Amino acid sequence: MGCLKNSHFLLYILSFLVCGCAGPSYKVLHQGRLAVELQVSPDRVLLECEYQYDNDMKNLYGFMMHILDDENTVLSISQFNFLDKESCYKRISKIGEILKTGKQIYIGGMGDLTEPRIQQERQYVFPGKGTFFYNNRVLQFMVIANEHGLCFDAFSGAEKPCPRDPFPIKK
Amino acid sequence: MARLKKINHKVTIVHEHPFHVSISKKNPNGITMRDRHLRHLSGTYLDPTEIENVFSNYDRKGLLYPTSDKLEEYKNADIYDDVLAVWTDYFNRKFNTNSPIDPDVIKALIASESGFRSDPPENKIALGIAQITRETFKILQDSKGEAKDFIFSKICQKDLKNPNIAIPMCIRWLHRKNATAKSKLGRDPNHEELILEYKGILKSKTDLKNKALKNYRKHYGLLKK
Repeated sequence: MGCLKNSHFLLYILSFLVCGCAGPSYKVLHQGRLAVELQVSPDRVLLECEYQYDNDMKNLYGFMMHILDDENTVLSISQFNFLDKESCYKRISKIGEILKTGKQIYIGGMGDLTEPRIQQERQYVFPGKGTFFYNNRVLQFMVIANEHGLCFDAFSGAEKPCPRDPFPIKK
Repeated sequence: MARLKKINHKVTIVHEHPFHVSISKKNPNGITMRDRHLRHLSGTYLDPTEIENVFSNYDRKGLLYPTSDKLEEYKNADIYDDVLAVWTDYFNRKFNTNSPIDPDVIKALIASESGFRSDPPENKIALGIAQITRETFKILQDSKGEAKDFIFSKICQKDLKNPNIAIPMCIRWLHRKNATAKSKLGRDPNHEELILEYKGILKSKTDLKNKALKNYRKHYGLLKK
């Protein structure tokens, strides 16, 4: 079963290579009841560790990724169990490596990207692209990977298998 | 067994008494004297054996279960439904609150905390399926702490990797959070406020708070559809 899942993901990676690197810079690959798969170029991804300054507990950080979509609005992919500072920044470093070495980034999350975009006050700066408004769309972070097989799971890190169930979604 | 008796006293004093120990140079008779100590009375605490007993013998007639087949894209989303149902009912009866906790609230909370993974290893400060923090874990076993009216006993941190133990601890903590949220708000919290209080962000103004709430609503909404 694990082998099947791995071969499924290898096939997915292979499809990146066959199709070349000039794929679309933002594409929703799958939207299920909750599970969402995205393919984006790395320049459309921002990483953030937000200090939960008024949290009841000390030293809590929330991990977020902000994604510039095809209509130049920003959706958020966040982790909703809090981390300590070290773990959160380690995550930025590991995911940063995935973004740096990849040209097509695969992201799995839970949420709904069919909800209407509602422009919010919050803005995000994407270097080389500009400043864009948050569109009030939220996904729960599950996994991120690149075409070279570098992968990071929200709950298990780089531990194999990665991605793990239910990602990648079987079609 | 599982239906709770009303108990007025939660702790009793056990006077000095002889105690059997292994035979050694220090105790050649195999008997020592144990000093006076406190003992929690049955029904005011849970240890691993009692957790297992309550769960196995619980009267499931008329029990309210969380909704199944709605979060099926999470692997394992429904396999803890029985555990959720039993312990939600147990603590709702135990604390006899005005607004009992809905098992779907806990199910939606667990989706956001761990994605129903029993042992997510990527977090140093929280453990298990409900991501109970090390700090909360201590409080839940502290007979003089803020949760002293009902505590857990003889539970090790590694036990939190077992959902059969982590889930009752999570639900007991939610009842404590219900009380702390009530004190902050000056009224009973609704289920969304309770979840924010569990995460420690009820009064927060961070960016993540609204996103966490939106995510929770999505999951809870699916369970209620």
